Amino acid sequence: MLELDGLTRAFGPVVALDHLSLRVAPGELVGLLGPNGAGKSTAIRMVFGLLRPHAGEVRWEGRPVTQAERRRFGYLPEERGLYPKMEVHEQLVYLARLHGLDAAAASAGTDGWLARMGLSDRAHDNVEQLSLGNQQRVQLAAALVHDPVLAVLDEPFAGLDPVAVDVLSATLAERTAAGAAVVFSSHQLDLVEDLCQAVVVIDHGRLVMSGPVRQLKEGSGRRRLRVRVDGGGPAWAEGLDGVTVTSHGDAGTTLALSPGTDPLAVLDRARAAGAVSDFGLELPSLSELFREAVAR
Amino acid sequence: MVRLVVGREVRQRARTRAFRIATVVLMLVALGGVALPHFLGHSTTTYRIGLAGPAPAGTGPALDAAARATGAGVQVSTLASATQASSEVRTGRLDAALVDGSRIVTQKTSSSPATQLVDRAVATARLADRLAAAGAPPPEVSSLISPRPLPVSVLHPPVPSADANRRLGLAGGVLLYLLLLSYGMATAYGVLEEKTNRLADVLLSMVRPAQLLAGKILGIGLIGVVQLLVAAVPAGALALALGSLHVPAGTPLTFLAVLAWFLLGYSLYSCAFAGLASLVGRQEDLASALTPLSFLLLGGYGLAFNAAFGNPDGVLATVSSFVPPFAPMVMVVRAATGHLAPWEVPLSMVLVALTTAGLIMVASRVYSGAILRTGAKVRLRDAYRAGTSETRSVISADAADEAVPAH
Repeated sequence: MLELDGLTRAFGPVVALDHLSLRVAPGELVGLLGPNGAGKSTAIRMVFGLLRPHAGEVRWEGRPVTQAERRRFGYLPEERGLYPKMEVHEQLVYLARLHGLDAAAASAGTDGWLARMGLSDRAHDNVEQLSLGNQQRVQLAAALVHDPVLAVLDEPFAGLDPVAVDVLSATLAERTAAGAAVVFSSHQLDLVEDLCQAVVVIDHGRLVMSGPVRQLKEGSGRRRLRVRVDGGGPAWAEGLDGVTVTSHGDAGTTLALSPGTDPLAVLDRARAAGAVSDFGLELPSLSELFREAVAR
Repeated sequence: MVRLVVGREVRQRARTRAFRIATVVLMLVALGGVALPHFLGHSTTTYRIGLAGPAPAGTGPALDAAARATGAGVQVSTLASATQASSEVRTGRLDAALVDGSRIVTQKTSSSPATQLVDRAVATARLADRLAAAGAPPPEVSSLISPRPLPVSVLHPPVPSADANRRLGLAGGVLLYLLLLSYGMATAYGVLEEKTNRLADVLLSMVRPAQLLAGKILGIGLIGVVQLLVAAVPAGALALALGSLHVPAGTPLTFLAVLAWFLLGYSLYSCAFAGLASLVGRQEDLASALTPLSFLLLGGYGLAFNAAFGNPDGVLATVSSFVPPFAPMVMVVRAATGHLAPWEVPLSMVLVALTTAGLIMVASRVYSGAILRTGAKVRLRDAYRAGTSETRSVISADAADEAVPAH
């Protein structure tokens, strides 16, 4: 169990983290969300002892994290970093050994990860000879090569092609199923929604929303209503209590219903305006919840 | 942990083209230093002697034997006439000529090593001739002409000239300057490489700053020692094989001094180079950040020249050989040329070691306070304040980290 407890840090007058607390349990895949400058990377760097909090503490299994434990973690930093003039294979073996693997395990792990990332044929190229996307794959392999008990990945999906996104998604799900705790930050909310059981949203260094995705959606009380009224604009929906028109197009009109609004009452108004050819009630998307959370 | 970092540094650096070229160049310079004086030295002590007209039987072998006895060589040529003998000597193609076995022609003085050589050879040949005529057995005669040299006990071997010592010491000082500068720069670039390529975040999530710094400094220092040995060993072997008399006797000792002072000087300078490099944000700013160190090294270089060409035991040379940043370069020169009291070198070494110990603490703290702060140049004072004042030594930290099983 990773616990961030009351982390607080200011850089001069700017408060980067303001009593941030959150937990990630083994077997949990958590998405860390927040607008730019919310404090995600600051919090992540504190997990790895790269930045000291002015107040608060990072704990692993209930105790302050030690250097020896950090070696069992996997870290993908916001700013990627590899030795440009070092061979891919040798570099991954070196990093795996710093993570505590012996030479044989480090080499075997490296071979496996290069195969998984589709880079086996580039194993003996220098890192600088690889495209940026491939360097990103190497960096991911470096963070995961030692099968970490906790992986904290800062924007792991940034810069990956769709195939690599699939590989990484599968890998993260696999690591979680094997009992590891995995946290990653991302701005690709659809991806996070598909992948994560739980999300944490921070803004201005504070926790603004957290919990299992399904629970957050249902608990919000918000509904999304899609109605198509043949031959009509969205005018019929305007002025209804608790209803906001969010979009209108060929597929119909999308409405956001505030908690307590009866969808069937809305349907009645639609039928009064014309023939209804499509009607659907949906939970809000993660990005809607996110926007609402950070707008407060 | 430190071992892994050291291993990477050594492997990566040994593979670079720059390292290989520098090692080969150093090796060739050292080999040349041994071989050239050896081969050039011998060609100057060969006497060129001409024989015109009939000479006593056995003059040739007698010339050979006489030359060998003085440690020289001789080259004998037969001439057609006395006229030719005169002209060959006049033009300098011959050192001396023997005409009709009775007259010596030479260029300037009547008694030169060449004329003495011919004189002795003729006398020996005549003596042998008489002995043979008196019935002495031929082996005895030939052993008289070319006697086996008697063993010689040298009571006071000649001291190498002051000039040779001066050159030797200065070569050591200049070599140290080059090594300290290039290995100091290598450390600085290594630190900056990890900072500007954002490797510091990844590495320091696993390794303590002091461990990373120690591994880098030890690794680069190790490769420096390897380079020195690889360059010196073939030259040493060649000197032994040639039995060269032209290598100054103090050379092995000066080489050991260079090695020892490299270790001490590198420890001192590499900490300073690494600490200052960690402050820098961009490669372009590195040279200006390191200027103070370049000046200190250059100062040591100048003071080494002062010690070699001025008075090695004068006030400036003596004082500067105890000032830690200058001591390696100056003390090597003084040890080769001066007359040191037995306590001088140990005291100077202790001073450098103590300074290094203090600098390690400061540099490690500055490094840990600056290495993760990318962007603009970090001020030295800010880095020192932000750095961890971890007093545990790297070794014990390493042991503590290893003690917990990784999995």
